[in-house]
Amino acid sequence: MEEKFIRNISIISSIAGLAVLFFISKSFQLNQTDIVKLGYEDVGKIVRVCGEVSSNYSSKTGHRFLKLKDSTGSINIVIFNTTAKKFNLNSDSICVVGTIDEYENRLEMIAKDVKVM
Amino acid sequence: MFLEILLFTLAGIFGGIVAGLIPGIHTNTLILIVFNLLPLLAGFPVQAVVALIVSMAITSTLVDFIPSIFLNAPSEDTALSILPGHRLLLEGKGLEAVFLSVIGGIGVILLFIFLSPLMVKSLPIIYSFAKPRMAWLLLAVVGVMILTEKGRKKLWGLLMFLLAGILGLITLNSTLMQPDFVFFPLFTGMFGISSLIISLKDKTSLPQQMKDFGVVRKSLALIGSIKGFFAGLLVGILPGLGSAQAGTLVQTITRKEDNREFLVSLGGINTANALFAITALYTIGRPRSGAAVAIEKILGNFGFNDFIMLIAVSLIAVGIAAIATLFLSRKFLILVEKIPYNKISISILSLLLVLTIIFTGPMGLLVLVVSTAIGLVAPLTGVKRSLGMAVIILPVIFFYLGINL
Repeated sequence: MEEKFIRNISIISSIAGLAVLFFISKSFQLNQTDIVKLGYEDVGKIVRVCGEVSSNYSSKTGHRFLKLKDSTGSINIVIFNTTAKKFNLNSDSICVVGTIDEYENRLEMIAKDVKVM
Repeated sequence: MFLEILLFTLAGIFGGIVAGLIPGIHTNTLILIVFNLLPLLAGFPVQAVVALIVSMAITSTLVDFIPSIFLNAPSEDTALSILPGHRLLLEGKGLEAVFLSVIGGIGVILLFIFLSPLMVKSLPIIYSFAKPRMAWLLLAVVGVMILTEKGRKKLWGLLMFLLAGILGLITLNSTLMQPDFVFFPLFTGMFGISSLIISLKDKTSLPQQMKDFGVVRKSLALIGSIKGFFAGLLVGILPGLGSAQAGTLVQTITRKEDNREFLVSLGGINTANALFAITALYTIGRPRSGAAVAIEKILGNFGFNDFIMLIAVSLIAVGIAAIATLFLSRKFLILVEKIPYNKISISILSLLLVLTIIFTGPMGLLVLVVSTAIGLVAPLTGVKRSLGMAVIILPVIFFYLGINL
């Protein structure tokens, strides 16, 4: 009886916990980072940057490559086709959440989420 | 350069021992630390730095078994050793459990030396076959894992798989935590804290432990190492498949319930995984482990000489790490026997909670609570704990099916 009770409590807590995590993950917002502050020590980190799109083009396979500028600097943003499908990328002012990466000795950001400002 | 490589290899072995003894620290966390220290190592040959990373990664995969068996506190790669290792510990054979894991590590590296020419030729063929079928291969693994549960347990198994898989989808697709540490609360809760809670609930006490490593049959060592070798091959070339899933798959397919053989295999898989990741980097040019990513970034072009050098470094690391693991396990046992097991469990539980807060903050703590609750479902319903690995498997299946949530 005791074991069954704990088992049921575990399952209920698991489901409740998943629901809480799901809603938190949807509403959770990282603090905005100035582009100039990004360095090679940030490679692998998830950050949020906001700014104006200064260039925007797509590859044949649907990957999108943007250049995002804020008042402090600019960074190249890569949005893979599977991610790009989910977002409206026609706006000029956007916020991007993604992972900082290094490609050919330059910093770039692999987007996970894009929101229109 | 030889001296530098040797010194860095020894330094890596020392780092791997220290990190392996700290519960819950994964090799990739170590590599990240070395990566942050790269500017300090700028004057040294890049091959020496790479030797440091490889020896550290290989050493920690063996030493990791000490806390995972004696303290119930696993890293990602040793998560599944808890049950068989813990069972032997409760039979008074904790030292034998560590010994079996070490045998696997040594057995696999010997097999690798003999079979490496064949592996170098066949890896690209195996990889090109598996890559387009990755999602289906993983679904088959999951199918086998659930369908081999008995009767009603199939449903519990499915529930466990779905709960863990959904947790993985939510956490790995969110920005709740930095990617470097996202697996820490997931695995610590799913396999570590849930086991500690069960131990505390059952008022587990550590029985008198045997003071020797026991005698292991040669056939068991050989078969366990061969299984570890091939399971490690799967892990080394297929992205997304971890040591634990491969171990479970091999154990399930061969229908072996032998704890001892499983421990040999698991010890072997972790070493094989590291070796095949280096081989995959050389033959197919793709990094398949944290260490391989670091090697690729530091070396740039990875040639035949680098490959041979790293295999030699791996040999040195396995040899020294095996001796160190056996020596340290005796010392660890003395420590563990002096302190009541419940106090150890509570101390480890507290340490894991503190590490979770330090590494991942309040969000990590929340993930830890949920993963612990899910981790409890398996032992309380009597299904395979390895189904908790769905926390990685389901997101990888979604990725390969092109489903982006």
